[in-house]
Amino acid sequence: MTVPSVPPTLSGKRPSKLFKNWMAKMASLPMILTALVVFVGGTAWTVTYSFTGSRMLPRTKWVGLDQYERLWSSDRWMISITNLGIYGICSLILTLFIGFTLAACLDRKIRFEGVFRSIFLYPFALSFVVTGLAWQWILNPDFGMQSVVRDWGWTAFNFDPLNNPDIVMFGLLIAGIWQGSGLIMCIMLAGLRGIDEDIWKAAKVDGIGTVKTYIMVVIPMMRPVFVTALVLIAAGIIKLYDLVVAQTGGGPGLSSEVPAKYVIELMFRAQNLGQGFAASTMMLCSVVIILIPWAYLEFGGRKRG
Amino acid sequence: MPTDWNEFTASAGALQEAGILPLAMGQQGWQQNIAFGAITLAVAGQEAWNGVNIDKNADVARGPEYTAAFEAVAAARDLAAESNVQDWNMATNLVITGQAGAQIMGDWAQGEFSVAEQVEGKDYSCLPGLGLNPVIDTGGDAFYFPVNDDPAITAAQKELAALLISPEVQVSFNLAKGSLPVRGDIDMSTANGCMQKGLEILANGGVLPSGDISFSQDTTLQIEDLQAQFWSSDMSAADAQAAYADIIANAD
Repeated sequence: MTVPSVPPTLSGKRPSKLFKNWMAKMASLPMILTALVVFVGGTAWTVTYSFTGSRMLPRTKWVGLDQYERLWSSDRWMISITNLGIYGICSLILTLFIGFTLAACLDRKIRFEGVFRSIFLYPFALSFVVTGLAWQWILNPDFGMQSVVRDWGWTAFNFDPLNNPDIVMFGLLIAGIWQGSGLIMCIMLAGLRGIDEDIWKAAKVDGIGTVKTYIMVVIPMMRPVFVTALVLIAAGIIKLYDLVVAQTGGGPGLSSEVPAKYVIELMFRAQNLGQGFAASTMMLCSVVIILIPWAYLEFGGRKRG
Repeated sequence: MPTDWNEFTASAGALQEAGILPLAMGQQGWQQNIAFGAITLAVAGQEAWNGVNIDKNADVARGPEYTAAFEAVAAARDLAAESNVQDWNMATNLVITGQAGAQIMGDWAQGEFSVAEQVEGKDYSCLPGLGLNPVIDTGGDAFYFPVNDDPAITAAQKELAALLISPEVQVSFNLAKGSLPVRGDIDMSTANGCMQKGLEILANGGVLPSGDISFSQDTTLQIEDLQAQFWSSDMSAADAQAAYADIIANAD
């Protein structure tokens, strides 16, 4: 005999599902309103106004796709998205790799694990502005790393990425990875701790080497952790702005421009809201393009299975 | 000390041989735009400059005066090639410490010189209009006081405003900063040589409308971006001129 899930009422009707768990629903009402009004509403408003000729203040003067035409013929925008692509791919791969490697090393039951964990996580406590400024000083050729190594004797040592338009994004990458890999390391460590001890013993019995165990057995088991890490890193990549402003100011020239900086400068320095809205709509599109196939794979698959 | 831009570019070779950077330039679009404006005024001349900046005539921007101007700017770019600083005051510092020969910057740079206790006429000097076309581009900061109901606050606002433009404050502020006073009836005889040159130009009516008045912020940003690209790459003068003319054609 099955246990009834809903207690039968006197009148024989089931209580409305709307009022089931009504206290939790009341508590989540502010967040629902915020999400609807601010996130969905604000986004819809921005996308709508990207089709207008708004300058310093929003106006409803319809211009169709003019803002987008100007955006895609602008050198600065093309440089921005190329830079974001380079930074994004490198940051994703390297942060995941470094985070996982550090976590795997820390998980080997070493001494002073807590100390090492704190040291690796400390950079994450710094804001991007502080990170950017500190690394600007470290990478400064006159009193940073280059001059220190030269003082030690290697006078031919050259390390000046921030003044070289071709590799300035890698200078930014160093700072970004230094800041972000601590958090990924901690998430990976938590995931590794969730792996059952028996798996390790079974792998040892089967005679699989340690590195192979990690790659072939453990990583596939940590798929949800990797997805979480991916989302966090991707969010950090898309909103890359304060690190660029603090470390290079977009220079030298325009070689370290990024889309978020384009949006802010066009909206406030150039006082051209329409262009800024068009650029941020394009940023939203790029996120959606990545999100929709992933969501389909994650959630669509289960219905079939 | 060279008396104009042409003499300066001629002497640049000797500076480079002595290991000194001829022209210090911060790698930011607005600074390069100031240099561009100064060189264009000097080389292209007042009429062509008016045609582009006031009338927004793209044909003048494509014309021979501006071709000469862009080539002069390309030459300046070569002179500033080793200048790897970002902020304007870092570039001024290169001149103060003797690592660079010159900088093209607004008169507020004199504030940096006076903090470093350098004396105009002895340690440094200046060439308004690059010695070829003595005019001044004027701009300044503004103070906004919000209207409110409290009479005590309004009285205080008026007192501050009166203080800001009072002769004593104007003299002491501008002597410290190296800029020109906003009122013409005060005694600036204690000002240094550079400021005297500027005051003379002001008195003779050699004043240009500032870029903020001629162009919208949007157009200004586009021009600054073009300058940033031009100065940090080996873009040819012809390409830069063509791009500049396109911006002027769409300018507002």
